[in-house]
Amino acid sequence: MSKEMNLTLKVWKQKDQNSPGRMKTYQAKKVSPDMSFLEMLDVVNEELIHQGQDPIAFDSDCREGICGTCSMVINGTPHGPMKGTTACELHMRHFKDGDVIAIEPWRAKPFPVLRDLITNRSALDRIIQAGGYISVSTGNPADANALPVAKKDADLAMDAAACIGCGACVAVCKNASAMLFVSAKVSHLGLLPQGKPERDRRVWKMVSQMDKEGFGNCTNTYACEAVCPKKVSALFIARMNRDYALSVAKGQPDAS
Amino acid sequence: MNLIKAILLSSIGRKYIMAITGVALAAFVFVHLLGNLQLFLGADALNKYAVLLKSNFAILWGYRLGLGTIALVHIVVALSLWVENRAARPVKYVVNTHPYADFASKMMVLGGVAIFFFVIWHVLDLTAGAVRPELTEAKTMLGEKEVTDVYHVVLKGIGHPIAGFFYLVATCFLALHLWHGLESLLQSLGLRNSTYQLYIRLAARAAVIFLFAGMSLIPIVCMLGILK
Repeated sequence: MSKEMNLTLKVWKQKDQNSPGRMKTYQAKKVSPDMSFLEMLDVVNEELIHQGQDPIAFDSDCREGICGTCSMVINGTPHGPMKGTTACELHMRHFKDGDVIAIEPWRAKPFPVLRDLITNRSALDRIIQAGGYISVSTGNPADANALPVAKKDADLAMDAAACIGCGACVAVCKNASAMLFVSAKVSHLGLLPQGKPERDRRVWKMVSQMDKEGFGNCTNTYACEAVCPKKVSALFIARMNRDYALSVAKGQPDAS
Repeated sequence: MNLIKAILLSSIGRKYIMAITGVALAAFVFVHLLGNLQLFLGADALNKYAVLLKSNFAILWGYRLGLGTIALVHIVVALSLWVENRAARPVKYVVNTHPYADFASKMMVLGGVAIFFFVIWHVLDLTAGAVRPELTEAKTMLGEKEVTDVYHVVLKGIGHPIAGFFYLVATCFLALHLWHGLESLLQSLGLRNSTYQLYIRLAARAAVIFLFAGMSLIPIVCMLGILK
């Protein structure tokens, strides 16, 4: 039986989008090292509810690292100290008894805080709506192997498609830039034959939407790839920069 | 209109401008250093080089105006990006040390401002002779002709302990700026990929180390009075 821990949490509390927030201190008692970070918060919230207090509001869904819903900056790092994991996959065994843990929401102008640790990330959805899709004429499903895809391209597209759209790249970026997210989406479709016809238009539209949402500009610090729970490479950003230049050079960005 | 919107108003387009003007400015810095390293070939070599640079009025001023314009564009676009970057995070993190962005990348704006003020002082002092007029008045004979003794200007101008110290500090800022900038500009232009990323990093760093060594050598040698 692993030893239980007592932790001090400093959590961002904010009533709604228009109220100012502040850090509030909570005690997390008898935390099992086998719990996930979110289970630890669940236990703290149970206790708060029993005491008639306001629980800590946070986002979560699949709790297995594939949906991109959980979003919290733990001690200054999005998704916490473990590389390549989301907050829901982070185990409490990576913390020590007596640790003080600061938990904050993603902070960026396009991600307004709705309550405590919950932010509105629909800015990312609007970027996808602007061009992160392929147009398919409906009909019978095509044979799976009718369109040959080189293994190298399929692998690279898969690396980009690993992006779960959580927004950790934006959260860690000193400029709150969404370039890693957008470049992953642009690349994963652009690398495959199904995405090629709309490649030029896609990068133009998605980047335009990204700028419109008020994200910052990329200064190539690569902080994004360092914290990405899916380890999406910042080389996709270089790829998008290249795609964007070609799209502009061809002179058809606005044509739909 | 599309092109203006795509380049001047977009985030990626303005990064292209930063990268291209950055390449031009960095190229100037390297040529400037190589030219000035002729200090070690003696007074005549450097003075001859100085005469060559100033021999054609149109080329000289075309070059100066072009370089000034490029620098101005680099600064104005940098400021526009910086203002947006600041605005993109109105509420700061309570616990935040940016542990994943390296020091050089965080110093780009501050270092750029430091380099800007240094360059203004440098040009006023050694080129225009506005700060220490006695420096640039020195003349010497190059063959049959009387020319400005640039060798003397460099030795005395940069050899002054306070001036020399500023040159060393400015060199540190410049090296730090290029440490991030030279590698970063290839990313911005989309020229970095998995095959070349290692070579790009090594080449960029080797270039900066060469630049730093050469640029700090001149004030050190001048201040120590090694050259006569």
